[in-house]
Amino acid sequence: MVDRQAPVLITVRNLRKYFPIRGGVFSSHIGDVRAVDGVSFDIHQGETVGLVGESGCGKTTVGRLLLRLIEPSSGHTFYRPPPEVSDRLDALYQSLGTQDLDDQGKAAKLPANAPAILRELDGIANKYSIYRMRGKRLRTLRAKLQIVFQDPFSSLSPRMLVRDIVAEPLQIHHMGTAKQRYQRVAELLQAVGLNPDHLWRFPHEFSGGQRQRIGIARALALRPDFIVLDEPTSALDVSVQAQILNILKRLQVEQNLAYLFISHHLSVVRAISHRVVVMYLGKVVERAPTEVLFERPLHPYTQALLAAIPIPDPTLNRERIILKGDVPSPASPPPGCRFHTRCPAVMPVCSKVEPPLIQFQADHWVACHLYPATSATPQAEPALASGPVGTALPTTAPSAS
Amino acid sequence: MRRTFYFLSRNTLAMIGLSILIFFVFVAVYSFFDPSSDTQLETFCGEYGGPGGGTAFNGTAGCQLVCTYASNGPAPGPNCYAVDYYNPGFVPPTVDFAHLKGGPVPLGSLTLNPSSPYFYSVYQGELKGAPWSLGISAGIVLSGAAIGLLLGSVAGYSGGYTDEFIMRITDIFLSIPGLLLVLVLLAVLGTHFTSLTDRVAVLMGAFIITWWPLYTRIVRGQVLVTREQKYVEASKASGARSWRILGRHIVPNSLFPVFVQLSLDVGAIPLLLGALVFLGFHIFPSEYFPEWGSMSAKAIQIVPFQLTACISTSCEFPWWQLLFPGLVIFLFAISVNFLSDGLRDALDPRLRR
Amino acid sequence: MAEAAPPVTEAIAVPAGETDRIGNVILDVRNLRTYFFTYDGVVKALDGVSFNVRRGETVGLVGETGCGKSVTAFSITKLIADPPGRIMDGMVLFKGANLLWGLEREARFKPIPKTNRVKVRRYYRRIRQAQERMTAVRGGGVSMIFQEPQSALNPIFSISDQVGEALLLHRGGEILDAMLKARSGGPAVDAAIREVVKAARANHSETLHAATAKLAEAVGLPSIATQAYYLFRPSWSDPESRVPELRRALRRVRLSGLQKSYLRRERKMLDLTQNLRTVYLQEMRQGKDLASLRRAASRHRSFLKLRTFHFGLWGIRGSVKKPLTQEVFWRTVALLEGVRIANPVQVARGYPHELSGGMLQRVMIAMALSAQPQLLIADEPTTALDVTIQAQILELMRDLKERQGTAIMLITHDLGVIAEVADRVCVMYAGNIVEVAPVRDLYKRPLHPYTQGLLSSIPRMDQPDKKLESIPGSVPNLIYPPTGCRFHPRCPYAMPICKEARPPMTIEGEGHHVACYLFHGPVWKG
Repeated sequence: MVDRQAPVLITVRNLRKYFPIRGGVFSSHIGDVRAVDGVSFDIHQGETVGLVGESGCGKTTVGRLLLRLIEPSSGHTFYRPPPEVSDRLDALYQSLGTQDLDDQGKAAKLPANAPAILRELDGIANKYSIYRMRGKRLRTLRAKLQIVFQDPFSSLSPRMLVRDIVAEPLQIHHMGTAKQRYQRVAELLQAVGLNPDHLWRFPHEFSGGQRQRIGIARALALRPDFIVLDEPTSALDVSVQAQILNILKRLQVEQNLAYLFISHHLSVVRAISHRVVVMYLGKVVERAPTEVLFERPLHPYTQALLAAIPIPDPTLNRERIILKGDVPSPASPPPGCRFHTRCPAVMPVCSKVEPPLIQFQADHWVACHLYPATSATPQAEPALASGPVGTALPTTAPSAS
Repeated sequence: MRRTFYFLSRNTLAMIGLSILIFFVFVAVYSFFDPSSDTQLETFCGEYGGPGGGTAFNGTAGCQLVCTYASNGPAPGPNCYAVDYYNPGFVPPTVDFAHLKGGPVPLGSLTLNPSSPYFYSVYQGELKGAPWSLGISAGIVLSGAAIGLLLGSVAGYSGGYTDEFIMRITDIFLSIPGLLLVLVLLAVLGTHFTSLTDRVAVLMGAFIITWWPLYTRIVRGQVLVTREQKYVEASKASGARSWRILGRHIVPNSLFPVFVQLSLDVGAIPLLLGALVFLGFHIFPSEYFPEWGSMSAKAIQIVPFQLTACISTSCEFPWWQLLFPGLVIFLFAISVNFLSDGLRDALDPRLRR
Repeated sequence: MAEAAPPVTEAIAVPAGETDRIGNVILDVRNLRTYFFTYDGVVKALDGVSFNVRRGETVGLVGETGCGKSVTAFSITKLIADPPGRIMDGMVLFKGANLLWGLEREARFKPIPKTNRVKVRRYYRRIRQAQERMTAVRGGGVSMIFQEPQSALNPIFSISDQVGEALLLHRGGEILDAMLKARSGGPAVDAAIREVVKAARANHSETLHAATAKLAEAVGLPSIATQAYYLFRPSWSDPESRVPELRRALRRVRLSGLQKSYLRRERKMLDLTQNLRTVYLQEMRQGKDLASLRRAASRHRSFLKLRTFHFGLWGIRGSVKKPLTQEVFWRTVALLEGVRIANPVQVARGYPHELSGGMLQRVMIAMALSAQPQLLIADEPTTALDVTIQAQILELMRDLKERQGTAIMLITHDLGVIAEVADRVCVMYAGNIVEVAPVRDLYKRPLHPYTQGLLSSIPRMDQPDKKLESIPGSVPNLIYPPTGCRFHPRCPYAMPICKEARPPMTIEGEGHHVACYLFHGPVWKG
């Protein structure tokens, strides 16, 4: 268990990414694929947050957004906000009030001092949001946030020697002389369990597991704080997967790294994560520490996911929750709660109103009408559509409950 | 570098191609030093010099027949070559027979219109033509490829308006039929430039203008694929700037189709030059300028005349005029093809064993 | 050579309560050896694989990437790419017929000195003949589904075209018979129609199903049941208005004399094709080349390619297009219903790109089942799918197991999937089967060190704090496989003898076999 008092490394609030769909004669904008639609969570230093969901739920996009490999449509990601700023952020978002979203996802009610709050948020964003950093500050930031990809075959340039691949980040940041760089490369390869004389080979000469290790070595080159692991073991065999996971765990302890472990293999996520965020069609449906989530999943989707994982024990007779139908398209998500088309516990309200993410218990957040936000619940996350530049919220927001 | 050559050497075809190409380059360089090439600027159509050798003419309306013979041999005999005579009424100037005897004529001579200042054997023609053909082909293709690489990678990588803009310009140039553009340019600019090198420069420029769009398209297509690759993203994640990504990742991985196209184009250029001559466009000072393409073109054009000349007199139809210029172009094209294939395979780390 | 089922005295552990479902051995693979002859050398992909599958049983074939499980499946159905692959040796007995008969005569081998390559001289005529023989078994006997459903279906043909093709190929005779005998009118049919209307008004799908089934019986065409059902779907308010359409459909069922004569001729051709298939099966059973019989039978091959999308190309024959297409379409819809697709009519009319992975996999299963095979080989059917969709497909497979009693050979690398569906498990490593056991035994008491390693490296939901052990080393290069037991370089219990010779498969429990020198049970002679 990671000390919850560890400082917050990354704070994601209301992240949204819409990909425009172009159609028609003049490639006009006819709609959006709402890949990520209001995602919020925290990552503390030295902890692993598992991001789970099925294909199309937006988890890969979230990973890229956290590294600013793509720009968000709206929302913030704060890097290393000091504790007092962090508290202030919480307070600010809190004071924007709990919102019930109507069909269009617009905020139904706004507090009177919303503009002032937004201005303050803007100010904080200017200082800590990664999407507002530029130039040298951005480059320094990039050194601290790294990524390891899923496909070990395409994530390493086939024309470059391993030595150059791992040394490239160092070269980009002009660190040290060539000799020092290659020395560091040898160190890194040893840290991931590869032989230093593999420096002089090409990626295609290695197996999948070894290539993944090279990718990890590359990610470690700049001594990052935070690594996004985008399904790092999905393309690997089971026994190799175990090796990689063990290496990752060891490195985390040695170098106090934080991980965002994106995967759709819940059993793997359970083995490595401290906290888990479950996504469905671009939204966070549940958020909890690992053990709490796996022992007491609240959201029906989480329950179905857990029940769907095949357990290698045939004597276990499990309750099988088989969901009906397919995952809807993120271009036209169902109205209200996005899961209502497949939910075994669907109620009439689910197709009309989107449930907000509320804190049901200590650090266990869920977005489901089965667990309504009452005055007794401690906190709620406002799901606002505010842009990074603090674009105006809809001034007329008729409540459509 | 060493590794590349090692893998290349394993590839038989590539080695053949490389050797042929090296041979051609050697020939091209040698041609500058070959002493016999000076004879090309001699006029011929000489008089019968009596015993001791000389040339003889058979007919007065132009040189219909030129025969060379050994010093003690009889009058016109087996070594007679037909001449094209479609410019009758000329006055045959004198010939320096010594050069003719001394020069290497094992492959026979490409006899030409006597009003042309050129007379050379096929062998000499190939020799002298080598640097032109090689140089022009290389120049055109490499420049086209370079421009294509630059523009294509910028267009493919940037996307958006830059991409659209560059692509539309490319489309405009693509829609112009290549040879036509060259002809027009030559026609318009040809009058202003008279020196040989200038005219060749204009020619090359015209060809490059027609050729670069093809490479741009090819490169852009490959760049669109490459830029989605994960290792590019990884570089971006490490903070690399666009130029670095372009140079280190995108361009080297996009060379593959360029090589393919290159190998096809190089062989085509000498033929195109010949086609220009065929159409009557004079880049070079004369139609008979020793250049591979022109030689082939001219050889085909004068076949009917040579045939009739040979039927009326017993002479050997100079088949070598037709065969060797074309053969040389063919060898050139195919050697570049093989070499390019081999290079592509050798440079692709994945195909290495 | 062609053996009957193994003697009943052999101790085979059949889980209690399932003896009715699981019957005799239907697939018996013995000593299968497949090599791939490449430029770098000979890849000894399979080195003496033996196992069997019983009727109604689900056998899982588990192993990691490169262990040869897909190669096994392709060897059984003879789908190995012939250069560079070659089945060298072995017997595959499917219901007593040796599918691999005649292997020795198909190729000659000559090692090239000073390299590790082998020159293979293939006799393609014999290879083609062998492939022809397999057509007697593929589809109707053994059917296969593949890993990526998106690429297994042709994108330019509609779903009903593709499933219909499979239907016509394997059950064309039955379909033509039914069509020729169908009655589109008469008192029985009218009475049945009235029943259907009544059931539709009742708005209850069960009764509607029953009523349409009776209608189909009266008409003589099972596809009418499906067609009528979707015509009179319970949600419609006015069933009476649908009756004219039903009558129109029935009128289409009535064939003119010309159409009938075409179909009759085609039926005769199909009969003769069936003769050819019988000859092939006989050849495989007896292990003899019945050339004269074969030649006689092959003279009358069916040339009407009963693919509905080919119609129209043959002028007059186009007149049978409509009734045949309709028949096939509704049968397809019925098949799609069988694999639990929610809106089968739209799916059947649609194209592969409109469907998601899970749906496509169901379509594939429908295609594979259209021929009512006795053995279904599923090559990693759920690897490309999401977890919740995978659960749906596995549920479907469990259901099929129960309903139709098809034997399934499930190939996967996911031990969890195996635990959910399989009755028995074969574990493969580097071209050898190292352990075979009933599913519960395998997980409770894994004997082979490789199996133990695999099981201990899987993160488990029910054991969250388990330390993940990994197996040291990596999968060997099959061009130079380790001598003796192929696992010995990575085995924690390796002994000197492991290097010498391959351990024989020994029986270590009811139905539990291991190939490891750590165990000294009686040798399994398979």
